[in-house]
Amino acid sequence: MAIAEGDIASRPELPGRLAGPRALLWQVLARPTGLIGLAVVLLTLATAVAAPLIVPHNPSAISMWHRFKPPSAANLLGTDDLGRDNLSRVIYGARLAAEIAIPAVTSAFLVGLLIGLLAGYFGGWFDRGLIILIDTLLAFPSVILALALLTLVGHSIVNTALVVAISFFPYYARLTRGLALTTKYQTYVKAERALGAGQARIMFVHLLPNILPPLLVVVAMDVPSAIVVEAGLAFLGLGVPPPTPDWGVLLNDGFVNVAISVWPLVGPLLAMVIVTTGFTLLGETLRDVTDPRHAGVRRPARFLGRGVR
Amino acid sequence: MASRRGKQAGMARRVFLKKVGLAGAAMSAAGLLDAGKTRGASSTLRWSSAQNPGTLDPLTNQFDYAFPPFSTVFEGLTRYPPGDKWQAVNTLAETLEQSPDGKSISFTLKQGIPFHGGYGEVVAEDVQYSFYRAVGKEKMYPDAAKEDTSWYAGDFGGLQEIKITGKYSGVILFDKPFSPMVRLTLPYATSGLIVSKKAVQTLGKAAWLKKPIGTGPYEIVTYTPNRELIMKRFDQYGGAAGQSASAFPWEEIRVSLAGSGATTTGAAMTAGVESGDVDFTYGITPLDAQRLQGNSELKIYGLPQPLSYNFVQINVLHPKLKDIRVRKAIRLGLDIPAMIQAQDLDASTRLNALIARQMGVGYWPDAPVYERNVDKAKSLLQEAGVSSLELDIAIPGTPPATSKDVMQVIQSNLADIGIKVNILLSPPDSYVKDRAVGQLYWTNYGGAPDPYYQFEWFTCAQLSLWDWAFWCNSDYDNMWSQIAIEENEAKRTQIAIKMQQLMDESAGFVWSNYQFTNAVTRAGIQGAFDPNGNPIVQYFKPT
Amino acid sequence: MAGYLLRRLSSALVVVLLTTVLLAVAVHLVPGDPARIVLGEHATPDLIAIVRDRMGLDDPIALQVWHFVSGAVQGDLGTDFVQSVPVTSLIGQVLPDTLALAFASILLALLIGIPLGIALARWPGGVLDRVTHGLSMVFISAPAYVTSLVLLLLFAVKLRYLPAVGAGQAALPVDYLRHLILPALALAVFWWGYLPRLLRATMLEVMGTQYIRNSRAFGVRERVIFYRYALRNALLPIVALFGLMIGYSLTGTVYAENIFARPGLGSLALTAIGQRDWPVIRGVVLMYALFFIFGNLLSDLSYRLLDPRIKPDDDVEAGG
Repeated sequence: MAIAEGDIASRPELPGRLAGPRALLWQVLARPTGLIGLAVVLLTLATAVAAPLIVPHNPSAISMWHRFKPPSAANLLGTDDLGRDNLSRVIYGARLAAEIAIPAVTSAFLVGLLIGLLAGYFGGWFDRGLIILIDTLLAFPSVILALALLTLVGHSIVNTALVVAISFFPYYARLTRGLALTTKYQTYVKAERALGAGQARIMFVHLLPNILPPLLVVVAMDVPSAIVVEAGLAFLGLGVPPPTPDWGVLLNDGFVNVAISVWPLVGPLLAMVIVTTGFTLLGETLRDVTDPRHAGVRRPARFLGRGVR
Repeated sequence: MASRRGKQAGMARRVFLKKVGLAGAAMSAAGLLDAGKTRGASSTLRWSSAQNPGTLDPLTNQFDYAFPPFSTVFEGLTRYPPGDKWQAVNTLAETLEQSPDGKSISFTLKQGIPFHGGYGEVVAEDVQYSFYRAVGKEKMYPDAAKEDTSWYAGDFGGLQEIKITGKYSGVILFDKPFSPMVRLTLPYATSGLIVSKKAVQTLGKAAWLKKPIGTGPYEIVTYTPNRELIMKRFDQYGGAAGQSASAFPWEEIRVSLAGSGATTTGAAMTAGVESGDVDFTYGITPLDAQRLQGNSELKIYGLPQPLSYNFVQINVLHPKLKDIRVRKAIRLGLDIPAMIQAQDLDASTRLNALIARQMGVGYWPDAPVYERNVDKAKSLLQEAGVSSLELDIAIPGTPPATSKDVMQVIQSNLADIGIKVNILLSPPDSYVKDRAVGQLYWTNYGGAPDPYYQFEWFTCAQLSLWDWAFWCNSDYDNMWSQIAIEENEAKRTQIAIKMQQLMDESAGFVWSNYQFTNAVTRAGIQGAFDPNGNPIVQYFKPT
Repeated sequence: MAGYLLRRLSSALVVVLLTTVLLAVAVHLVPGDPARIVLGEHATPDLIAIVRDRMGLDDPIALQVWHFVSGAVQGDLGTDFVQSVPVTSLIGQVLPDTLALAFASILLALLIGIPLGIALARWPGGVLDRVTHGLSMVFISAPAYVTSLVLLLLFAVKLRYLPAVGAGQAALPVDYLRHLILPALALAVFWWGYLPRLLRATMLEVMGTQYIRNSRAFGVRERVIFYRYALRNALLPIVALFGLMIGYSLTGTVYAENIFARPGLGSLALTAIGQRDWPVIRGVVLMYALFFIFGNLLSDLSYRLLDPRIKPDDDVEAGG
């Protein structure tokens, strides 16, 4: 018997059957929350991509004679403790957020997918062992896990992304496993088995295509969570090395010197609030659109399942 | 002189004075301090966010320099009084004489100076016991375990024997003269403090560490590591420091301890003294000091620490840095005034060589001053045939709050001459140990009032320990031994200048500035600090 | 039910055990000498020898694991490196402050969240409803450190109404509470976004059921229906949330303690990380894991108990 049965807190939550992407898009855009959410997400991505082109100043340009300046025409959000333009740093922060969160979530997804498929399909002791391992990893609030891990391996961009991935993949593994189990016992799969189809074929040809679309939505909606976790770690001083203007680093720098000037904090705070809210709005709308049964009643696990925040 | 066993000595002296800006238990202490919010009128001095001394034993604490509670609870044969002059005065010693050949120091003690706790008066046997403990001739405690050793044996040079010539007199004998004994060990280092032989032997390790016995004007009441230290005035104080117990205004001194490694900067650190919960906070940043300037309820102190120095070390043995032209290019590429600014200090703290002017002996007034010259730096790199060089910089240990900023300035400076610098916030331990790994270091060392001590860290014996430049020069090492033996100050200065010249020629060291800290007290209190900015809390006065 | 309880409990224990083992072994998983790594730049040959001896690094790994695990079971988490005091005493010193913060935030969450939710259910579609819908999106999105920083900026720095730092003096309850408000608020904000919506949705759902319609038909007053029947049913899932609220609070305290300079488990962990004091880090991680595991367990059991409609996802396996 699998160990973590009834673990409602981590119960997979998927949108139901997805309509075609075009129809989905219209439905999302029809709602104000969807419109705003999508706009924010697209804006963030655009900023991330176009950062080098739109920054008013070089985010790393140090100017010791202009430290802690309040907003002015040249520096719309003022300057920080080394005279760098706050606005430019915030803009670049979007790029960094994407650079770390997307690979982290993607690799977590791939690893989780593989492990979940294997566990779900083969079952038995293998499955049980994996579940125990996964549950152990899920037992730690991700911040704490990350703290301990980063103490041991030291921090760099790669390590941070790695640690974030490690805190995310167990969730995907369980999700995939659950789905694999559901599909495994579908009649048509049994039929295939009876007809002699191999394990691999069943997994890739039948399981995967069915579970991928809803999974991908979940994963995409996890990007802000990854950003939040990674920025949180950076805020605690465990993130990327200087002078990278990661939002968490900006928050930390701003916090340390908050008594001298509040302006270095304003940009990253606004950015984080806007981006996370935007993703939440989009996510909520997607859910409402694809799975009206659960509209409005959401298990907090969706936000808390990974002990994030 | 005998090489130091282990590096605890240096490690402990390396108390990096500023810590990373991670808020921590700093203000937890505020919760433990006395509930009475009377401002300045009470006879309790409340001090928040002090650093953790580790143990309370003069031989195994984290400081090894004159810092409370050691400078409050214990006394040595001499001391440096508050002020800005490095002029030692007698404390427990009535007389102190060095022999002409420098190989012995004879002392007589003041009579009738009592230890705390009723352990009798100080006698020559206590001096002998204290120093023998320090060098390992005596066990640390009657029940000492194998790992209980003194960390600061190196402060005594070649101490051979202490002959007791009378109840209050004795002679300290060395195999070779050891000048730092008089400038450093006796007046400044905790290892030179006198403990009660009877107390240590009666109490045993555990009880001793809870409440050590000294002769100072205050005695320990309780000590909870990382939380609090409480001292109360010793009413039978013997007056070795020239005044009786009643002249000390505070009945009680309460120190709240931050977990070392996580003191905060900014509002967190000064909130207590601003609100009156606390009377004194030490080690605030210059920016905080500026911020508090206008506050009429507070008094701000700017405390230069010229014995403690900040500089860049360059690993001279690393393949990328072996070529001296590369190192010289780096030296010319750095903008020292900008680096000093990044520490929120001003140009007056700039150092051009290891020994600061305030040291008195060993200062090199004609040390070369390197002004930034980007073109020359670039051409040096070209000459060396180096292009698109990538280097790491790190600050091993617990970094001061401003170190991230300084390293980013360095990163930017060197980018201007074509070198890409990566900042390693938590370098692996091989960064210090392995000459093929460590490259650039932003270094902050704490010093002591003798050049012998300052120079020690760059001898060959310090490779993989504190000589992060991996520089080993036998002339330097010989001169270092000499400077310990030489008594004459002028001659010592000559030797010191030659040693600093060697360091300069190696281009492994780029000097930046000496350290500077700030303290703040409530307006009704006048603080007292020694020439290196250490607070001598017993002399704080209500005004 | 008893069988389920036993299974969940035993699985939780297995996870705890595995966690403990992992923590004991973790330090060996990193390349290099663990004592060196842990000591960082303090490492000298003598100190390394002492630390290796204290950590028992030269014992076989199985023995080391056994030491830690058996010690942990008896409540001994080893001694720390910096001052050689038992880790449990360090944790014990700071745990009350963390728990105070966690519970204060949960209390604040419930005190505002529930009445607000009731109000939303009472007047769905009204002005309040629309305003809170927008705000709640923001509240549930913002991470704990963002809300903490915003509150710090607003109340402590700019407006100076409330103290920005420290825990205040435990001896003076009013002072302690003043210092508790902002951090507890920061951690409660998330629930102010979540709870009202949940309550609203659940209550509306319940109000639409057959049972309620029947009650109306029988002449039971609307007010009684609303408060006595619907609310009671709607509150049940919230009770089940309690375990999760604990878990969330604990993670949040790491940030809140940092930002508001409060003592607590989080601050202890961060200090220990700065000092590379592995026994403390290990002990704190274990504490957090324990709270989390049992919080989740509590939550799962409550769901199971209170809402038999919810099936555990592994019932699926029964089909095999």
